[in-house]
Amino acid sequence: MAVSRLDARVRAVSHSVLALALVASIALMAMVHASYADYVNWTHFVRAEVVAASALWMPDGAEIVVEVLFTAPPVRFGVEIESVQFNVWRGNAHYGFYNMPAPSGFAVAPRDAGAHATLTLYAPIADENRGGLLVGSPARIAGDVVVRLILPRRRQLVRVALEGSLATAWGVKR
Amino acid sequence: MSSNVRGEVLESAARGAAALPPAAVALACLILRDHAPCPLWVAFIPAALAWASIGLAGPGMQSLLGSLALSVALSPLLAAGLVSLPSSPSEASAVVLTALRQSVAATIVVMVPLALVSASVGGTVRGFLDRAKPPTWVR
Repeated sequence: MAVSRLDARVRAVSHSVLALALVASIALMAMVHASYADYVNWTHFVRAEVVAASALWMPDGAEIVVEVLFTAPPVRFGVEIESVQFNVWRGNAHYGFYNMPAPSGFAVAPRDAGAHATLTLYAPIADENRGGLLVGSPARIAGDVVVRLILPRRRQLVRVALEGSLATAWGVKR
Repeated sequence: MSSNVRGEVLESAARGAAALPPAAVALACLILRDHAPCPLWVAFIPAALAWASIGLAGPGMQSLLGSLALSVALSPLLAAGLVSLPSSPSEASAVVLTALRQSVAATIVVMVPLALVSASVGGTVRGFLDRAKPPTWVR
């Protein structure tokens, strides 16, 4: 009788532990799933587009000015733009690779808020590209906005495609 | 006698089914470790507890192995399903395949030893509680 009572108690403890494990795992999965679902949703709906881009003669050389509109859905993790990187082409002619770092720690949106940020960045045009790029028809920009996602256990870099045209008719040649 | 056996099989299946979600969640957390809000080893605690509780219940050897086999064998499938839930239909199959491959590997390397060790610990505690008697599945 004593053994059977002990058996009943141990079985009850066993069932309680099993139920506790089940509840704990469901709670854990809910937390992980929320972050992961946000990530999947973010990668589907994040967009970057060139609002305006120009190659300009400046008093001390030439530079490219790019205005980028970055939109993304609200997520539970932090999102920071690291840089805008692109190549400039006109037809098959390549006019350089440009890496424009964003201001340090430029957060496009606080947690739980959608991002709708406009970023204006500048980069000098190398001497060998100036002559060809600044004269003639608009060129084409093809590259990425490099975004840093601050996930719960990792900082991950994600590239968001960026394309647009580069106007070349402005500026004053000195 | 036959109803006893059927009852034992049903109980074993029920225990295995109850231990399946914690095992699958541990695998899903391993695959989605960047999104886990806690250290990775924490995700394995519910699974270890579930298997220890099966050992603690003191079932027969066959029943014990049946419960462990059910939860361990099906956990990669459930984990792959959990991971693929937010994916779009076009990506789901690729996500399922990748998740299944990773979770099968993790099952072989981590979950099978963990299940055996946890159930043994549960059985040892049961034997300790019984004092005079060894764990029932040893008999």
